[in-house]
Amino acid sequence: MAAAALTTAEDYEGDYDLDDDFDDDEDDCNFSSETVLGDTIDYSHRNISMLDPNELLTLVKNPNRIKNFQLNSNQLLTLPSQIEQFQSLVTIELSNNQLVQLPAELSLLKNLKNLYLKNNSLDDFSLPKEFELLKQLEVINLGGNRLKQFPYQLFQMINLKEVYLGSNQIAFLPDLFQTLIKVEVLYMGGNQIGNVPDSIGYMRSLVVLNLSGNRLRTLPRSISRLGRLKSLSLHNNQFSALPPDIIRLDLQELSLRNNPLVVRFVRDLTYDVPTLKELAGRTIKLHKICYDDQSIPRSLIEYLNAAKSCLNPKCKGVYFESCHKNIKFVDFCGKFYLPLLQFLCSPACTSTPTFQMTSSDSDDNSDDVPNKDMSSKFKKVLLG
Amino acid sequence: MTETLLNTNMHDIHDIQLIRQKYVDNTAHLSTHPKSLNELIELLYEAFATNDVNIDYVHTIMNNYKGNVKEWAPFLKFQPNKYTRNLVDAGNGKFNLMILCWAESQGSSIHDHTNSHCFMKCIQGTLVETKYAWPKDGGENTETPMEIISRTELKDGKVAYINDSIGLHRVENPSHTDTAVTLHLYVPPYSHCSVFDERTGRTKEAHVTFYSINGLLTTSE
Repeated sequence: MAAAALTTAEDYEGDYDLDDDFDDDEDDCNFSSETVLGDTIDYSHRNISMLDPNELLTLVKNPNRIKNFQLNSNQLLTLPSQIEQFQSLVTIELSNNQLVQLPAELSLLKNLKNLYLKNNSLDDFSLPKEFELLKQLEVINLGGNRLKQFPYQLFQMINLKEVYLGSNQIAFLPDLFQTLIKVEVLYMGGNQIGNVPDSIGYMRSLVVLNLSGNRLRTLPRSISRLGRLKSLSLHNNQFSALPPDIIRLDLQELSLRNNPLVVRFVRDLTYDVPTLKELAGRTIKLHKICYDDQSIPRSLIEYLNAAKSCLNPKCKGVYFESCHKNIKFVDFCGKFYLPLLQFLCSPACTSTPTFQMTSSDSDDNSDDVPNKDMSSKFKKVLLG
Repeated sequence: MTETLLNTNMHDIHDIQLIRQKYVDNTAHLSTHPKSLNELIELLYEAFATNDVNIDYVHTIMNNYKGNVKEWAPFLKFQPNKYTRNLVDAGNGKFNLMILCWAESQGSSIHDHTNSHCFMKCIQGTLVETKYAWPKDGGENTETPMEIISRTELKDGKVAYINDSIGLHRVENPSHTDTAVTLHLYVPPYSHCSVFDERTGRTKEAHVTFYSINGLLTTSE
């Protein structure tokens, strides 16, 4: 019974929750014999709105023996400060209560690894500043609360492995994710996030990233540095295209349903008219006119050498600063179509919206879109 | 409605009477309120004893079965990247009974049901089923966004039914905080289906696998 809320190494945190059993008939528990079992206190599903510390300490002779405290599915508004006496606590399960505040004394629990606070009424002022002292915390679930900001204390918890913030009202992510280098699961679904900051690229342990149900239109290029990322959930957002770097990831699952790219074509994006310098450079490259440091200044040589190839495989043109952004749907594994933001030399280079990308098609070496071994990189792309 | 499974001869008009008799005989003596998962399975085996299957009866017992978490525990396996399909009973090849576990926000692709009946019962949390019309055949090069027929919420033991003549569907767990669990019955079982791209209506064949069988994880990924 108590095991329902505990995470094990191989199980995902979202294990079956007894609270959701529609045929729950476990209302009557033998209070004293089943409440304390070994190192676990089970006070879950008790309809209690307050935890009486005296009663608790009478029931539990030695608070230091207790490692797990199950308090889920009650009507608790807070915890008493006496919680600090339970110094051996590893797991506290407080999901599905009415918590509005947590005591600073929680931060004194030096063995606390798992803190479940899902489906409560916590807001940006509910978590004490002292929480940042919980440097050994590994799993925190704050899903289904009233947070409008990403809790800053989390950036100090450097041993965090799993962070759940689903279904809150977070609209902005601070650019401070570089400290969370041990986080493997980051769940931010169901918020109001409009932008993902660059520092997300520093989260090198990230395996599961859920950004579904937000207001995202794009991802930072640094996303391609997440070498361990296996699952990326982007469904229910405002994506019209993805940065081509996404191909570098070794994903097993990518969800893109319910984004504008899925139900309508995206028209071409803005096109800045090229400068004379650019036009001259393009002509030189296109006609393979020879140049060396005897004929033109060094700075121009460097400029010419920085030409980028147009991604239209039939076009031998190049561009410098002025390129045309186009969204091209690229077929992966012969299965699904992934919209990539392509850089072309002009709108005239926009080819038909969908085409099969094979190694014979592209004879350029643009590093915007790697063209080798793409089908082996994507095992499954969920677009439809 | 009685369904005759494959590998039997089609009856002609003369035998309709016989079919109607079987309709009454097959399941009239059976309970319509299974009290446990094991009883549900027993009743299914009874209903599938011959090649004439009373699909209405099957729908009824799926609907009335309540169950509890202790029965489902061996099949409740959640994964962070994809929903899991956990086979409960292989039904002698006539049906497949399985439990699907949907972690937060997980959803399926749009898929068909390869000429099978599909019953889906929500036994925990909430599911949203979006039904789609079959893409019209406009030729090889046409791409048309798929049309949504309906969107329904499934919870508290409610049973949804679909087959290819009704349309295609996508199933998803809309919650970002809670998991969802569904009990599925497929008649007959299938190992391949078609998945559809919502944007274009294009389709590909997909191989359908189990994450666990009888509570034991399968080795293939």
